[in-house]
Amino acid sequence: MKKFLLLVFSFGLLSSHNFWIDYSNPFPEKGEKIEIYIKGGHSFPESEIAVKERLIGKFSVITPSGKKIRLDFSKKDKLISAEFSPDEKGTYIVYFILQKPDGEKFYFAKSYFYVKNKTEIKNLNHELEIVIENFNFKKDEKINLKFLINGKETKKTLEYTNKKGHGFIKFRPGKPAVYKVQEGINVISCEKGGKSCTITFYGR
Amino acid sequence: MHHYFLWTLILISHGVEYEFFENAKGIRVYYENGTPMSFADYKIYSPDGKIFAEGMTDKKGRILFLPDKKGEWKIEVDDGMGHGFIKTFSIENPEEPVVTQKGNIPFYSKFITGISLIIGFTGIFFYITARKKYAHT
Repeated sequence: MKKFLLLVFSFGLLSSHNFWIDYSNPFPEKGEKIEIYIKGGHSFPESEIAVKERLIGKFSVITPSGKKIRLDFSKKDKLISAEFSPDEKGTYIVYFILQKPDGEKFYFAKSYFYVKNKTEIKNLNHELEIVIENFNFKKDEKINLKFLINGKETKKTLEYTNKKGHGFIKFRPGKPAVYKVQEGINVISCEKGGKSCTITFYGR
Repeated sequence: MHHYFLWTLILISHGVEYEFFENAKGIRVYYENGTPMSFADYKIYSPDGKIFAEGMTDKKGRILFLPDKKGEWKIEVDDGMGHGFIKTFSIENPEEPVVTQKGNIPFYSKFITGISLIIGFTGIFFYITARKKYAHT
């Protein structure tokens, strides 16, 4: 078996793309049918890449009462789309996990939206997770962020993208990372060791 | 009973044999930061433009195949997340596989499988017959 690799071609490619959750309406009414999207690429807030469906390990919603609902999704041109009708008031968590056939989870994205009244925001305790402490979904609100790896706080620079632009959120010694919420969609992301996570929310 | 023997014959006629060979061509695909492009879809086209191989890269981002024709070959790789490439490459001297080991499923294994199937189907047959009989009584 020594000569197994007689000829080797090697190709290097650019680093990973970002994926995030978005909505047809981020502030729906109770019972209103909305579409939840997985978007991706470099043309934020538009999607230019639909992630391959076989990579989506989970795409689910957790209702304010804690019920987990798996979303039926399909590829629509350059995004992944699923329909959902929120039937209770409060804050919903939407998340998806991208994983390889060997079970390795390499991308975790979550998002929050609410119907009528905001309720408690819960963490999902994923391997890589960005968490927000106290959030009112208000424009110009300053929120504290944490980046957790296996539940342990890690001081790593986060990246943000919103309609005003793109930038970095740095941790300062002894202080939390602070982000000023912009109107419309806000996406915050972080990467560590080839794995990535994002959090999406809307300010108004 | 004719049916049972027919099943056994079909099973034997679909025996599997295998060969290990060692002169495969290799392609390794990875991201700019050195991370392997694992489990990405690929297609390899032979010089006549037909698909010669199709599948997924392994955990280390590798593809192995053995071209059988001289000429311009093409490979397409897509990681399903917006990364990929198309590359043509030339094969001057296609090789025959250098076989290092051969094997097949041993006959006794086929025999035991055949007997097991006969016993299994007989059991199902008598079970259905008995159910019908007791249903009538």
